[in-house]
Amino acid sequence: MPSDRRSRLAPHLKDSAVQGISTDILTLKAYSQDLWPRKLLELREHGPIAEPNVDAVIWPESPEQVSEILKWAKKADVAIYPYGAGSGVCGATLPAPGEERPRVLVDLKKMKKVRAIDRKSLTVWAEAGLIGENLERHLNQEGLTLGHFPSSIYCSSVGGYLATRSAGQLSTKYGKIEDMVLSVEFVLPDGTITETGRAPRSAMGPDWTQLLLGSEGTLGFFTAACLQVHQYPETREMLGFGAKDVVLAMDFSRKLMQDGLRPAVLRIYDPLETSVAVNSEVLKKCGFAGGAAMIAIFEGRKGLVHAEAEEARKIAREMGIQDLGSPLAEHWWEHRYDVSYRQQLILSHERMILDTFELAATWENLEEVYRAVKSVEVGFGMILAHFSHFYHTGANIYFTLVTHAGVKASAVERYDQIWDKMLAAANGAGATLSHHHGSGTLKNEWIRREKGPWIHIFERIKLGFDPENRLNPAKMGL
Amino acid sequence: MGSIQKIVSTPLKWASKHVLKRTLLRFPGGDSHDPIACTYCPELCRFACPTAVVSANDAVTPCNKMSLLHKEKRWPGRAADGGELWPLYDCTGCGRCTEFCVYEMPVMEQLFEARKVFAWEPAKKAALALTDQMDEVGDLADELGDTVNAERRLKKYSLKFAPGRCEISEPRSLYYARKHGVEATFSSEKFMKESPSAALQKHFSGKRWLVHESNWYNRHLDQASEMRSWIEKAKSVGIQLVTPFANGSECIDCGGEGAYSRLFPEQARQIAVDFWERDQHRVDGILCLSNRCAEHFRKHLGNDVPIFSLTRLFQEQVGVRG
Repeated sequence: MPSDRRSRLAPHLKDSAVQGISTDILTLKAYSQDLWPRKLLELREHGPIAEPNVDAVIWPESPEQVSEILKWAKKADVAIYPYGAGSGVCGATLPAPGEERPRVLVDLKKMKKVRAIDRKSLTVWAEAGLIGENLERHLNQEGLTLGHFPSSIYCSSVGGYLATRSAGQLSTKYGKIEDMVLSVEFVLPDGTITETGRAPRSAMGPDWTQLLLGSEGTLGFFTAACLQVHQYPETREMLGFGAKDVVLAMDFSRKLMQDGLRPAVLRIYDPLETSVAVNSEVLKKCGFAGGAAMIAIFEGRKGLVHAEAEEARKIAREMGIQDLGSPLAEHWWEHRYDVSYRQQLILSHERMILDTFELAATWENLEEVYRAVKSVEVGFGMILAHFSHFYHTGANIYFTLVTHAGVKASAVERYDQIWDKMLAAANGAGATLSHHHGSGTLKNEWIRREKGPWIHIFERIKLGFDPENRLNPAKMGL
Repeated sequence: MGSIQKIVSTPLKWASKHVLKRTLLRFPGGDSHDPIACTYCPELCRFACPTAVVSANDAVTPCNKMSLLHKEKRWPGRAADGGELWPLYDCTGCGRCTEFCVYEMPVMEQLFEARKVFAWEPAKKAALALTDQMDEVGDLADELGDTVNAERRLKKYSLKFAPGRCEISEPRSLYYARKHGVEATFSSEKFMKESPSAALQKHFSGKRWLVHESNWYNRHLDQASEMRSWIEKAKSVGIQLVTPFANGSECIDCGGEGAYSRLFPEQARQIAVDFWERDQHRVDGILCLSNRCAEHFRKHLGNDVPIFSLTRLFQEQVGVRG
């Protein structure tokens, strides 16, 4: 019961370790949801919640304060929820309904400093609560870029990137967050403040940084990270292509990747997403002949960029891919974050469901995964797809579900049913069920299925770190 | 077969897109400024909001503040839950969130208007503490939801001038006056159009100045280009002006231009300190357009940092006659 939890918490709120802790009702309600669309459907269907999911929120300003809070958590016997900017779309920060200990959410956004830039090694030490856009702007003023541009960059934090193994729109060149991290400052559940690395690579045992990335707040707190940065690109070349179908587009992308080209951006829109979501005026202007639209953007030093772009055009010609020139990619670049603003447009309409599902598969399985998810029955609606992160060995597919909940069913129930079908289809076809959004509450059951016996290994790791299961309990399939 | 398909599918595609545009791809009722848009938004304005950044509290992101308005309208009483909607007051009115919103949601306008309906005890107290001298034009009272004193002060102030001759030195006050139908001009307008005089150049020479523009002048009075043009003129005559570092070139708030610092003094102090700390290694002092901003910085940064108000310098005729 929330009232029981709060009465158990009350005597501990005066402790100096949690100075500034808030139990203000409007604050607690604001933290009772992240951006998981299911919570937005619940709001639309049932109105504002009467009882918040969390019992207190605190904003530490240093790793030492995080450490003190964790020591206090043991004394007070509370569950702790690390929190970045709340832009997760899988409910990773939401307490499980069965958690009976008082629930204290620890928001890191006051840890927002750029601590240091090493211009020789090209690294930045950034604190976990720094919003991505503010970090990027800071680096740009120094003539640098992180190269990490998730579409949530305006509303997501460095800590969130680390906790979810985030990927940005330019990841094909700059890598995902795990490729950018040299070291993390990490506070263990017992309050120990640690740092994981000191060099670009080490063979002194396993890579602890990589173990921690993607652990979604279950193993401890990321409080800062040393990230590699790049010189701000000298030039950028924008290319657009059209393939008669999505299979040819996949083959073209595979060829680019396996021949060693590294576009910063490479995107394939399947024919449905091309016709619905890609600007038709621009397509017309490019003389697009139909099928799957693609964009590729190369950036960096002029000579390299021109050479890679020319190679890409040459491969396209060889494969019978239509060259659309630059307008499509230019338009995308101008509006690259605008797609996020479509969410509220759709969800403002009663009964409408909208969500995204991002997965990855090897080239061998990619087409089957694409067809399996696309063929999920969603009623009066559709599943759009684009491919936006590419590798030597495979790629990611980003599905967008837009559908009507139907006349009778609850939109939330319908949402759950469709998700089950999509996850089953993708799992059956050999995909990993998240490429960069993470597991959260949404995929908590499915991570068990995907990981098989490894979930028991993770369980032991979790208990090694956090024997009292205090940090973000009941997540990551546990 | 292909051509038949094309003949059938082209009008179908056109029709479905047309239907979509008329239904799903517009907000219910067609109003993209209805707070419902913020309720389901992924909070893309979060990074831009000075109060959300400094407090780090998700209750005060522009989206959350606006969604309280939607919730109160759609489910009366349930958002407030018997309490007071204090987040509506946790906004400086800077307008940066609107600048970054694809729908250009007028957050400041809607929140300030809502304050007249949803009272908050600390705001009432802050309004009572204002004197006519502290709030000559009435804009601070208005921001705190005290329309009676706001209107009285505006009337009193405008009566000092001959019709059509009203001059106001604070951009925030000028915005308020114009919004309420008073024909007023910015008292520094003519100086902003001129190149800084020799005396002004002398006043600023030998030091580097961090420029703090006015949100109300740049955004709400739509004078950003005027301000930028003055900065360029000043630079061209050798005044070393530096634009703020971390947050890009847009105008960011200091917390002191409006009534915000009277409601959230600690946060307002922190906004000012953050603003200074990000750039202090590159400059020697701060040059503000607004006198209120300059006073706010002086209060929180102490006497060691040279801080000047351009409007005050113009008012005092420093360097004007050269």
